Amino acid sequence: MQKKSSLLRCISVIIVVTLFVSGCLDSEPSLIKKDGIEDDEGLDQVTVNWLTRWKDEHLRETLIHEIVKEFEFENPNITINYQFFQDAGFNSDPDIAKKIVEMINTSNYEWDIVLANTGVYGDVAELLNDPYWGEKYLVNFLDIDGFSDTQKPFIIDSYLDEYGNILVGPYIEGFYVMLWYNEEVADLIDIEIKQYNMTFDDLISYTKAVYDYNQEHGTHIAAFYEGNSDWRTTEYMFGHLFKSAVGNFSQVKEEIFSEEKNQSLLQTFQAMEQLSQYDPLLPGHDTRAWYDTRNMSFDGTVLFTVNGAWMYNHWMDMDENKTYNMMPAELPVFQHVDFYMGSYIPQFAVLKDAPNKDAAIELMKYISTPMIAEKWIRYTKAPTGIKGHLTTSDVADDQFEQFQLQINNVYQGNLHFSDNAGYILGEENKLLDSLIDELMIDVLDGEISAQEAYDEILENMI
Amino acid sequence: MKKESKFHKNFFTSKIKLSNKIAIYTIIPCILVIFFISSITIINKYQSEKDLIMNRIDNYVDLLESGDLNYQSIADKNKIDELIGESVLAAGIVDRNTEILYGTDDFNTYINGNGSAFIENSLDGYIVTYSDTNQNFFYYSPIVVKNNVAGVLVFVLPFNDLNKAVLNYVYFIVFLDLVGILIASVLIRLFTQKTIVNKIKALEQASIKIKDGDYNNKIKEELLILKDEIGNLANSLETMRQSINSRDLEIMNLLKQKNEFINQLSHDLKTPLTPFVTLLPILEKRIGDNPLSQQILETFSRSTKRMKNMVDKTIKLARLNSSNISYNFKELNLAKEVQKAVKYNQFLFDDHNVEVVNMVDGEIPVRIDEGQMYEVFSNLFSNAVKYSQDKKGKVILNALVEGDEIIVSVKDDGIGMTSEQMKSVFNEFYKVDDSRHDLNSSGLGLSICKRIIEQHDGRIWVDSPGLGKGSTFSFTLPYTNVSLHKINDLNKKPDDYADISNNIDQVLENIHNT
Repeated sequence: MQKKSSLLRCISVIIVVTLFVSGCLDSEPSLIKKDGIEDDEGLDQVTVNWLTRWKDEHLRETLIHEIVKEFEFENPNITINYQFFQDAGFNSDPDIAKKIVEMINTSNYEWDIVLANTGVYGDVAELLNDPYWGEKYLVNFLDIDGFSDTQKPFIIDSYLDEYGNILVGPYIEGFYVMLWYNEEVADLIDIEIKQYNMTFDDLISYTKAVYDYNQEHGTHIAAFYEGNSDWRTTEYMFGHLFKSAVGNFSQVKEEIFSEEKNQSLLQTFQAMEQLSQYDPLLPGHDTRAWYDTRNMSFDGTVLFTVNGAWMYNHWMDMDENKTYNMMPAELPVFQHVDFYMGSYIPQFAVLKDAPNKDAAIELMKYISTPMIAEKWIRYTKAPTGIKGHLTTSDVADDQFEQFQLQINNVYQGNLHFSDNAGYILGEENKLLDSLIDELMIDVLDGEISAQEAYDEILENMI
Repeated sequence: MKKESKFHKNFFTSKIKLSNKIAIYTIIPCILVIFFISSITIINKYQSEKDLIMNRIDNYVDLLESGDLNYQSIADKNKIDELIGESVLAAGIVDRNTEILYGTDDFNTYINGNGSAFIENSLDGYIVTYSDTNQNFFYYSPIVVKNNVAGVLVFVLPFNDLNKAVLNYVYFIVFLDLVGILIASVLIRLFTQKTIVNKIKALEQASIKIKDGDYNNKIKEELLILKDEIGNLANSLETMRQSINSRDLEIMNLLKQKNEFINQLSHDLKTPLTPFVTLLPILEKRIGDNPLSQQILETFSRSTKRMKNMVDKTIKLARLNSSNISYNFKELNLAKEVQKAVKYNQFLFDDHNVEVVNMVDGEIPVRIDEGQMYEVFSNLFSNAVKYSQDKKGKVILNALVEGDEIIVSVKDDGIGMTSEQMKSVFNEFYKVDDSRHDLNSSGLGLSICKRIIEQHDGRIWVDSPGLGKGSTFSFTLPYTNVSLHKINDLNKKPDDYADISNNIDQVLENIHNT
């Protein structure tokens, strides 16, 4: 009996302690008021109309959706009505430019936020006949407290002149231009292509190899993809060869024609003439709309595609596996240079008189956060002008990130990109860009000589 | 008065060593204290583990709110596990319309039911923690952007995983407890052994020596200098030892004086008696037939014999009490010795009309002094017939081996004894029945028996069912297991016993003649 009593006593102690322990565990919900919360019921509901881009561009489109979703999450009183320009009935930059001009002229602001890449900005300038139209009709984000601090310093220092020295919006998009090559085609032809430090001689050898392969096997593989006159992508290779011939980065950027540039221009056309011996371009390029034929770059038809980093998203949207056959390589040079072809673009701008300007500015501020910058880098494998935790890809998980990392490490901020011929022929000859493109194509097609192309340029120069 | 529990009584009266008893009794509260402290520690560990996880979640929320981390990261389970340091079951963010902004694959299954209510609480600005019956731990935190609640972050953690660290800690603590208890037990055991038990053992040995009559060994000085209870006990014991030793010496001295006095007195009395004893027979022959003179002489002669008997007995006892007497121990057959004793006392039994039944037979090897043992039997026989009632009495002799000793008994059917009488019957000069004024009794016979038996390493006692129911005197002798032939050999030899036997025969014959 006594033993039972002792046992019960021990069990009682254990039960009490167990209950004590278990009493400390959460069996009932615990509610603790969080500090720093205000009542927001007084805020008005606002809808921002945003004309945007990057439809069907894989994660670049996703980024837009996520930006909207997250912004609305953080700003429950603001709704974002966003449309990709294709869905809003626009086909090209000039179409968008016309709409912007129309809104300015009628004060009927259908969109609070519009596209504002250099192409659109230039088209509006032409339509309004005012290169500084941005200052009048767009919000200058230099005036928004703390906004310029969200952009990388070189953006404020080097990129605002294209917009009349105002900050039209977040420089979210950065890019490098590459000589993409299809690794499967290279393997087929049995050539090893230099990803970095490719010289023009290297390029000639690769082009010849393609030609020889076609001769030997009766195939029709082109060395270079090319589209119609809407976008002659090979112009970037032409431009970088020209710049490498000039050599001096400061001189390259100056929109002043010089004797060095004169000689370099001829040298570059002569290089195109050399390439032309090997039928480098895909036949029928004049009938080929770039957007519709982007897939030709990885379907085995061509070896090289000259284009920007954005092609990663374009191709990923079409075929993820084939995208990983595409290898980025540096544009070839005549001689080693300390600069590369690339740039940063703002893409979006807020109209100064837009009815929901303040909310639109908030959205632009949200896009300029490190969180979005990081997403951009991860989603596009391209740099961004927005300050973030990552200046570029720092993981280098694949060939795209590795290339980005390498270019960033080698050339730092020494990037140059221009949509006009000012840097070649001087500011007064900016509009000769298209002429140069067409003559370049003619030389590559073997229709005219380098000298003839060069002479024609000189004839058309002011 | 508080009643001692049976457990305690059993525990303290058990044969468990004292050091173990102390260790066990001391370790029980230690275990309880250790258990209590362990419980507190485990609770603290649980709280700290929980706080750690909640802090990590809070930090994660801070990162989200500060824009340093993508909301989308919540959907990346690996990243969340890495950030929180736990294997998260599900996690996600819901907006103010309880639409999922981002979440892990199965997040939507956790935001219904109670979940939706807690989300509402959290949208009102509360951090809610909750554990459901499936042992899932839920954490709801408002995501505050620009001082407004933009949505709610929800984490679902497996409660078991949360407790895994605690459980590991519990195992560790239990292990430490066991080691601690083991070490504490050993230390307590060693400590009590050194500080208490060894000293008590020393006291025990000292007290045993005192009990055995060895008063000469002083209690160890290391015990006497102690100032605690053991020191007090040691000092008390030492004082007692000294006191007993002193009294013992005093008693021994007094006894020695008494024996010397009695011995001297007896010899002094015996010397003047000698002429009486030797001259009385001459006087009897010369006194003639005068009846009065004969009567006077007879009275005188009887008194003289009684006095001589008393003096002889007193001298005998005095000798036995002194250290001068030497015993002549031999290995003999007790049965034969009893037969001889009966034979030589047969006239006594006959005179008193007492029948003797001797049941002592066979081979009973003993180591005895033959003469002294005869004295014992003679005294016991004399005692038996003396107090036989005035009728035909019976004396039964018996012996039995019990263990390593032989018990010899002399049973009579005489007047018997009270218990008080039995206590004193072996005292010197004690007479059972003073009222009868037995002038032939010296009151020393049984004292002499006792002394002789003790010198044979035996004990003697008396049993009696009561007055009128007879008495049984018993004594023990150490049993000597010697072989029979050896005993027989001994018996065949002409030895001192034979001499004594012959002497006794001669004396008896003389007495008869007289």
